[in-house]
Amino acid sequence: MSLLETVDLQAVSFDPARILTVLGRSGAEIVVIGGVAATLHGSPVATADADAVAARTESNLQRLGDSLRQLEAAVLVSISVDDRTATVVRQEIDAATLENLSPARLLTRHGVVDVMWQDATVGDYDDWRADAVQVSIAGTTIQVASLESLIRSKERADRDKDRAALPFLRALLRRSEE
Amino acid sequence: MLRSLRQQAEVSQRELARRVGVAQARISEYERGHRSPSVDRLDRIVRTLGGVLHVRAESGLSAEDRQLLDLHLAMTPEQRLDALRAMSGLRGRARA
Repeated sequence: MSLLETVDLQAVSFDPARILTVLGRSGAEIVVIGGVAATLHGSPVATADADAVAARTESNLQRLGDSLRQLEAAVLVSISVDDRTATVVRQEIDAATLENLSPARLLTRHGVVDVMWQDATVGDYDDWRADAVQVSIAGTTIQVASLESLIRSKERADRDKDRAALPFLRALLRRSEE
Repeated sequence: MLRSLRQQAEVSQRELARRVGVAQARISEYERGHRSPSVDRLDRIVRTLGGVLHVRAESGLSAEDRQLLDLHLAMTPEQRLDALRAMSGLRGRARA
């Protein structure tokens, strides 16, 4: 059974640390990508959701489902033009649900999470994981996309927000090489 | 890249050289990366092959952006996420 529900987004504070801690503790095979990954590297550019590429194996779908239920995730249908409310579907987020969602755009009690099996710019979990770095958050180690992969991804996506983020990412890469 | 563009356009090196007004050997050098054409010449080559050359100049970070970057680099990853959470809260209040 599923139920459409309107959620007041003013009551949902984006807390990426809590999201990543729950996902990390579940042992789910994910690589954090996008704006939150850039933030973890030191970029000051704000983002409003957490993106991750996940391994599409049965056991991983199970772990992801368990952690997303802990986060009280609901399938995000739409966000109003003024960003004040969201429409979600309240349904059991299990492995089968996740497998059919690509990407899985979810509203959790700590903000929006996008879980995908593959992204159009770099590739799937294995592609992102190849040069991912390990970051410790609240005692949990998580995999975070490398600066090189983030730059490649932003260059290929080439939207306004990607172009705005690139100078910071390139500067971070230069500094890491110094 | 130049070679694949030329091959896609089904134009020989000799024909491309003739249309652009350079020696065939020069086209070969460009394709092998042994020499770089000027932007004007590259634009002419690309247009001859039916393409469009986009040139984008990017500036580096401003002094303010560099300061902001320094500030974030001085933080731990957890502190950076806290800062992101705080920014998100500010944006939420601005909407209200």
